[in-house]
Amino acid sequence: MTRNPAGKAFYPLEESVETNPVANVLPLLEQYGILTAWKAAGVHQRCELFVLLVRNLPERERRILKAASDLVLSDPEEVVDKLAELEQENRLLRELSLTDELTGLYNYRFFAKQLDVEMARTTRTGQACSLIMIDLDDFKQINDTFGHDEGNAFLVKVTKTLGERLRPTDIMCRYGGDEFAVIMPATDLLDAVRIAERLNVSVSRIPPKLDKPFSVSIGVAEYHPERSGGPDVNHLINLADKALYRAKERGKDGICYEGQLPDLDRTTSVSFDEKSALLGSRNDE
Amino acid sequence: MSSPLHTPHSSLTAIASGKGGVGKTFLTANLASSLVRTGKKVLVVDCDLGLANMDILLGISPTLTLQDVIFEQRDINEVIITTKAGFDLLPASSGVKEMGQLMYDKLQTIKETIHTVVPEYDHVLLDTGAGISEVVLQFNLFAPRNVIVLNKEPTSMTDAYAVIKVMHQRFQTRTFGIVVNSVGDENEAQKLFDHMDGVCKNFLQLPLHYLGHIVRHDAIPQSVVNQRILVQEAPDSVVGRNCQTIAAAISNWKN
Repeated sequence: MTRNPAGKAFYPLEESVETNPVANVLPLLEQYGILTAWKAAGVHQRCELFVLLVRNLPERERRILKAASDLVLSDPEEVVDKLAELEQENRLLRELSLTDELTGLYNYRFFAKQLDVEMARTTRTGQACSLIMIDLDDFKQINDTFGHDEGNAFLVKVTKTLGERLRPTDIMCRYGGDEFAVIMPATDLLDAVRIAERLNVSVSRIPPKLDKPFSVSIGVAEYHPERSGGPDVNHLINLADKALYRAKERGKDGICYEGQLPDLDRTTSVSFDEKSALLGSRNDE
Repeated sequence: MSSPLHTPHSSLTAIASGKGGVGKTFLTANLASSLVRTGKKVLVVDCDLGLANMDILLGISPTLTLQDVIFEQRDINEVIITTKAGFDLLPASSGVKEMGQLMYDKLQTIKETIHTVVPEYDHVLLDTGAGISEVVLQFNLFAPRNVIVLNKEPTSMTDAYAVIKVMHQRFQTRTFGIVVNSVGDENEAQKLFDHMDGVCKNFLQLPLHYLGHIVRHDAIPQSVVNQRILVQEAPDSVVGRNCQTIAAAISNWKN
């Protein structure tokens, strides 16, 4: 019998991920008359943690169980202590975690760290990086109308749509409830605004929940090592936030940016799709 | 005596590029010279306010410019000079970056002033400058036909497209002729044009006109450095013939 990996209460004795990890302990449980609980859990359900309370288990069976589990405890006192310990561990892991549970995106913790890294890189390479903040318009209303579960499902759908329109190097993070931040390494304000445009268009195609088209508001800011002064993470976040606020103020469903674009008309006039079409297969011949 | 400003005179042609440095001023001067060779009376107006350089290309240092007409109330006929290439030039002052913006307030005056001399010419070519500043757009709008110069550089393609899109969407301009510069041969130019034409048809439902191409040739930068008009110096060279073909296309261009 092999030792089970950490975090699993029981080790699957046969290498099958489809069956419940405790399936092989089944005969043992049968023997001690606690099969009812097992059946209720269902043979084909996968579980990460399965708690068995067994009284008066003979020593041999006890050893077998112990080998298959992290947690074979002798008395109820130990159970309480172990639970407290697990909870603490859990909290620490959650803090250390870099992704957001609901969306699978990077969380704020990672965002703050990574933005720092990207700005430092910018200083070294001399290439600008950009930050965009995205806020879902009227998401609260969606939540209020359809409830949190449906609201969350919608939120996940939106993040998926947004993610599909980003480049592999862009780093999308869940900044807050319905606010997202995208770090764009080696991207100047002009291109960041163009990508923001593309994102704005992509969400408008999502079937709306409310009786109006769904939209997002976007704020864009750039950090340029020569023009922006020192690499101040908070300053860049503030700029993007300020732009986002203006986009909201201006009636949502729009993009605002902080800073100077090389040519305002040019930026607002050529969409990303048009640019792609122009530059696409042109050199293929 | 001048025609109303909202019906631009048919002899006016605006030459724009979106991106700078794609050979717009070279083309304008050589087109003007080509038209002169066919017996036409031609005026070139340097509308690249703030970054005017037609005078430099022609190796002249005008004492008076369009700005003197606008701000100093000089007579436009005093300012227009006849160049060695046979066409007339209404030069502009260069070097003052803010001039572009300043001129915006005076656009109407500028247009009215230019209109007073338009009837004297068969062709008036407006060298409108790069970018899509409001001034450039307004000058492009001033003519019923817009020539867009581009080359195969990605920025040239996107910027040229930007000019076309903005003009089309904001002012419903429909008449764009394309000159493809710096190509190896006609085939390459045609492919580049087809691509741009396809994108414009696809996104703007707007077909473009192909006016011609200019091959990449050492004689071009040489002529610029020597401040000579290539068509005049070597009308039968490949580049010289390219320019004359484009000039003929513009002459025959029906809106």
